[in-house]
Amino acid sequence: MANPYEQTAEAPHWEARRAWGMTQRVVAKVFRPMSAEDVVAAFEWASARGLTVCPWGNGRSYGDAALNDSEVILDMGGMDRVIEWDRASGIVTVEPGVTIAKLWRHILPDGHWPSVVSGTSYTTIGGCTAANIHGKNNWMHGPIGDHILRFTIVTPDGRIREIDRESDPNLFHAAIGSFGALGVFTSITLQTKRIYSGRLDVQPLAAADLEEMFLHFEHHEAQSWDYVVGWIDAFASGDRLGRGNMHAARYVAEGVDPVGERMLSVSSQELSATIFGFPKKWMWALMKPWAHRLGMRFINLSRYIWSTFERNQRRHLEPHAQFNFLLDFVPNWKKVYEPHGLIQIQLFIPKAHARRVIYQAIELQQSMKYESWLVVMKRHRADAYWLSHAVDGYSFAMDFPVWPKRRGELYELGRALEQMVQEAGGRFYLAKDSLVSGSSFRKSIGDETLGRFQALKTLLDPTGTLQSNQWRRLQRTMGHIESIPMGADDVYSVLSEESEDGRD
Amino acid sequence: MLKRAIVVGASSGIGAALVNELVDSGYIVAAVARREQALERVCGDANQRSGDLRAKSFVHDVTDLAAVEQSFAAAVAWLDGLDVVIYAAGVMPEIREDQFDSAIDAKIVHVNVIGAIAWLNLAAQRFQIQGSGAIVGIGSVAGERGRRGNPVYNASKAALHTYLEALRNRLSQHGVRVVTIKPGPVNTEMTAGREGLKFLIEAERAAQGIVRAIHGGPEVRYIPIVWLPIMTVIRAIPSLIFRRMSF
Repeated sequence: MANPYEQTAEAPHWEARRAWGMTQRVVAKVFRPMSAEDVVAAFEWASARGLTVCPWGNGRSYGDAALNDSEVILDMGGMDRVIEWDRASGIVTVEPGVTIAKLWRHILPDGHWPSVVSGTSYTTIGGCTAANIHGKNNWMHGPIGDHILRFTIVTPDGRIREIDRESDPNLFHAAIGSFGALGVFTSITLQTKRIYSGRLDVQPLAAADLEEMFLHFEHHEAQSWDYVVGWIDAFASGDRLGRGNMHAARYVAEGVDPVGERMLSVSSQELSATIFGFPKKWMWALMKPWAHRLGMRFINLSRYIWSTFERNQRRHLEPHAQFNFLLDFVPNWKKVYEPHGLIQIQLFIPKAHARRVIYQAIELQQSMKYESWLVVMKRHRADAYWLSHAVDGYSFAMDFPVWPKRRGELYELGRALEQMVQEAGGRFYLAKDSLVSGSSFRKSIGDETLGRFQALKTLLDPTGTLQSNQWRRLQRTMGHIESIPMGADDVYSVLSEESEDGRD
Repeated sequence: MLKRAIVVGASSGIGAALVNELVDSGYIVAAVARREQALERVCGDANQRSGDLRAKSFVHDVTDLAAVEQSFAAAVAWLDGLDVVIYAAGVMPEIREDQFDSAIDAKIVHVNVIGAIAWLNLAAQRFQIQGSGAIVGIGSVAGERGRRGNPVYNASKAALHTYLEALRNRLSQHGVRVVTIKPGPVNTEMTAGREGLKFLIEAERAAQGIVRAIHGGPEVRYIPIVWLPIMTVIRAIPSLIFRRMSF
């Protein structure tokens, strides 16, 4: 009998890939394109064999967004050049495999910072665009899509298109945040933010309960702070439920930070390699003995108490990298969750329901004795991207450890949280997700938007070549979506191109 | 986040109980068996209990070697990956003590051994690349000694044990877990109507033990554990004495 997993002489080879949450592994044929033409060739190779294709950035999605079992994965990590940097305008054009870490190092000495960054700097710009990521400044500055001026996208029909907000607003707003379902980005042009100091003006504050937490957020929102982020101790119950701390931060105006200019150097931003003299790369090993409910209860409590000290609530200046890349603070922190991994669930809840839903969500976890080890709260605003996860409200990102014996319970918990989001009219974030059902996703986005998306997908990818494990998982329980063709007045360069060619 | 499992021989007995137990434990299951109606019923029950599409039937006859690759690929495609393969198909026909029927014996070997090798080889090839996964074979305490009652059933389970041991030695370095389950008598179709079975357990209990074994602990398991001391003694009985004993 033949071995379907045989490594043939013909490239590409079978490789194992796993997502950041470590809960799923796949084997796939992996291509490493170095140019847009290579992406076209990969599409041809795959479609000749009836295989589907999924782009992969740097494997930082928690769930199955970039997995494509038994099919083709395009590892875009090789396309990692900064193509053009204009220090005067702050406009940068990069290949999709450029990481945020590489980008900020490139532009900081010229007084610029990426307008939107994720909590880790190891995401790629291609991945960030496909996920339409947000940062802690989302409520004020929107998702990364709002700072993209144009992109080049390769679609399965073999075309290489350059799209901007004006030339094709439909494709622009549909492709950003569509997790590679419409095409593969091969270059992205971003407007970066002019900064006058390498540091942010940061205000930390402790919150004794959920109400105080929300008041802190509302207060800083009223004062237009750029960044607002909260951390909640999910183990605190009763009157203390929702305690934690929050950080607000704002950009520093010109001339305010006396050493601001000097701080615009890469070395001034680098996170220290040690903490209390201990090498950070081994920090996860120190944390490992605490990786159980009791240990995490203690760590969350300690962290809260630490945040209540007066000296830890002083306003101060902090380097951008240190403030933004919390997830890089402890390298390989995910090893704490080994060998069974973690899942992250991020609830996006409209403002009016946020207090109630997060209260219920934490109470539910406590009643199931399955508390999240880390809860991060952010403020968001709605945006115009078709498959957007953002709402005018709050999000709560929760990390749950996976224990094989409790996997069934965790799934039930996830389903209950999904139900809460759906009832509150909230949204889901596919970069984090690994269990949302297609029907919930459909209700959150709405049939009209999905119908328009479907029409665009059929046009650009008629054979359904661009897929991922996540795409198929959602499709399976989504039901039939009626395509809604574009209206006659829609600016729609994709259609006009087709008719110019006489293909119609 | 759901784990993905294939259960071969899922239409009845331990296999059917495994489908339910796996679904309760956070798995999505491709259930493989020959008897379509029974299989549909097993999957339907599991899906109803979970309120979700978590088990799907794949009709396949394990003696049809040419079809294994296709069935395996179809199951993996539906699961969108693979973490666990459990081979639970097996037959134990009633044999008289004076009966030597090569046709029946060949059938036992086909279902219990050759089918297992065909399915588990495919899983092994995949897991070796994947660097993870669990392969579970349902052997039997009957595979520990050759007894009068059913020579080829004993031999088939012994062959399975040895095959699994070899797989374990090949694959453990790749992060793959290979588990040999050795159940005593389990109350299923296979044992229906047989008298005097010792320590008989229900299929549900066996399934719980098997799912626990996937996650950790010893890779060779007696279920229930009482068979460990018993079989340790029985294995040590010299042949000269063993042949004079009533079993």
